[in-house]
Amino acid sequence: MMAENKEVLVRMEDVRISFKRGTVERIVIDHLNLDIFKGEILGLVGESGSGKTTIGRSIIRVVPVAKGKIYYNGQVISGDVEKHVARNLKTKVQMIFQDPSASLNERANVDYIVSEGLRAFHLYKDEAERLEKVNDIMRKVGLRPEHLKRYPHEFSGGQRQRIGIARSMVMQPEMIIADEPISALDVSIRAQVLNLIKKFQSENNMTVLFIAHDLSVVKYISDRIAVIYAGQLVELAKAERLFEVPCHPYTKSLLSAVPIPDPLMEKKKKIVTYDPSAHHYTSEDPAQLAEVEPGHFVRCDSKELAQYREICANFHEGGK
Amino acid sequence: MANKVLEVKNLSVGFLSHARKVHIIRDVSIDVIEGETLAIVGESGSGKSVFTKTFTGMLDANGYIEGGSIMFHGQDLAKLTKPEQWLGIRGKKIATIFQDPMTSLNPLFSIGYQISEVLMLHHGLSKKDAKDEAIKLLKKVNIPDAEKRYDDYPFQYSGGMRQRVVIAIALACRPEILICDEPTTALDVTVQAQIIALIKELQKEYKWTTIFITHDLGVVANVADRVAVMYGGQIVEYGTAEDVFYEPAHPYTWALLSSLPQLGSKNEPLTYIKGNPPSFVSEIVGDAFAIRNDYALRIDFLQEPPMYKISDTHFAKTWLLDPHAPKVEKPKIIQNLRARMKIAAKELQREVGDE
Repeated sequence: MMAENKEVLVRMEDVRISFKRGTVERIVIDHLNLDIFKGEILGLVGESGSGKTTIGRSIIRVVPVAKGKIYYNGQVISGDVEKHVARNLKTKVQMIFQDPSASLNERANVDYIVSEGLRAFHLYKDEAERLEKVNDIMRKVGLRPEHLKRYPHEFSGGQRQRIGIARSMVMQPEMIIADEPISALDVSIRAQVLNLIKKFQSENNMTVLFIAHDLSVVKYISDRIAVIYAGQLVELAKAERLFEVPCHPYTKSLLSAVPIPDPLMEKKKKIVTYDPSAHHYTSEDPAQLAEVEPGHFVRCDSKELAQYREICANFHEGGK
Repeated sequence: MANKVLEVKNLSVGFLSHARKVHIIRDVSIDVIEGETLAIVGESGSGKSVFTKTFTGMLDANGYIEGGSIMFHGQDLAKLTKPEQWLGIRGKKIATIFQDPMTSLNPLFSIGYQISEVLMLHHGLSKKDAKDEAIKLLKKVNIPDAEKRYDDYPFQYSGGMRQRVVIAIALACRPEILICDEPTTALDVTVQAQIIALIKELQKEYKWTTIFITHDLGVVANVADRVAVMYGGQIVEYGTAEDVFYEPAHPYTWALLSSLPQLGSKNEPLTYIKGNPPSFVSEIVGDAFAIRNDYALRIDFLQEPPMYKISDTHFAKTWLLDPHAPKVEKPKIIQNLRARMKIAAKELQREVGDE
């Protein structure tokens, strides 16, 4: 679908995810087509309940897919797969969670937490190699080897998130799914954690799916940004381009809400609210994801498509 | 000068922890002016929540006021000891909105009951009048179908709606001071913007004074008339929002502003504050920020700086402002904050304009 000469690591094809509660089935993600390229940081933004976390979870097979397929390196990983495929995926894709105090086992020391993955997959020859790997990763995330004997409650929020990162990175994953990794952290610590994720990504050419709701952070870290609204991908573009020419009204409303730390400017802010009923989609002309310019996709019908294409073309000519 | 609604003088708060005394608020003085929005900014553990909890007598059981005064309408709130003494003040005159609306609402009672309860208790309304009034309040905070949703329970409301309900409860008493303790941290950006807009709008109508606690400088820029920066249990700088954002004087404020992701450029790592905030377990000597401060002077490690006056509105507690101190420029990255933010705003498709 995406006409760029980049290798696709994860391909989601017409994915539907639904949750059943008794006899009621609720579709939370539908018609999701998304490629994640090798070595990129893809930002996934949307409000709470839009399905961002579910998308991340479906890639690591925690949430089953109701329809469609997910490919990893060209291999199907959704639905029933052979045991070794699922096992292999677990070593290659790692998670970083939002709340470091909830995601670390309070009763285990840091050594155990960080090497749990190594143990589960026998990724070391002997004890010496395991310790070397663990010590090495501790240094890389800015913690000291003597911290290994301590327990999570002895650390500050930022340090705990670094333990969470160490636990993921020690597996030398190809891909990281970072689910709101900094939302629970203080402003001063956010910067450290962002730097760390970025450093690992560029050093190991890792692929990162960065899930967040704060566009200012996503813009700083991402190569491309995907905007999710109510389980639908509504816009996907290069980070800079999304900020330059946001097309979908929901993206515009998200941008209008981003706080700017400048009192004079912020006090004049006007919030744009998104009204889904403003679209007049019909069954003859349904909304679908369409390419408005190379690499820039928006969910729209044919009338909107023409309009968006014009906006994008005009922006190229240097005028707004 | 406008009326002071709350005068805090030399307030100190201690906590008993493992039979040891720790000093969480250390000699803080500030006036809150009627009708203003005062934002208190700081990292977790800087003491910002503890500080405002003393205004409503809600310190944890092991916390106590060590000294100082909090004058409110001629009454010293720091001297109140009995729970009954707080009845006419807490909730009624000074109300608080907390971070997580799920924990401030009782999951076992309907939304409507939780609002009308307040009205019956504080205003002595009958059950029926209270219901009518509660529905009016729900409409005020923009809850659609207020009549129908009156009987719903908190779990049937979304996070943003729950926070609206908490605001409605605070409104019920027409407080003079509204303390907002990180009211939007648990919410996402669009909902956050709506809730802040609602608080500002209602403040205009009800003319209360807001004390807004947050660590998000973007939120501060939006709401604050004045800003107080807290660090290590002290206010280290305060002034109008323009003072603090455009002419920050304390190295801690510099560091906070420098680590904003909005100031980062793609290919460089973001600036951050090294080290951790002070733990309070050991006695703090000198300037609490000294060990993390790139601009620390030798005296910072020995002696606590006094509060220096920069202008009629702007004060900062750093030795750098002493006439004997060497002249130091604030970090490059925040020297042209205005211009950088204008670029950021343009990128967000905002009207920038020239003021």
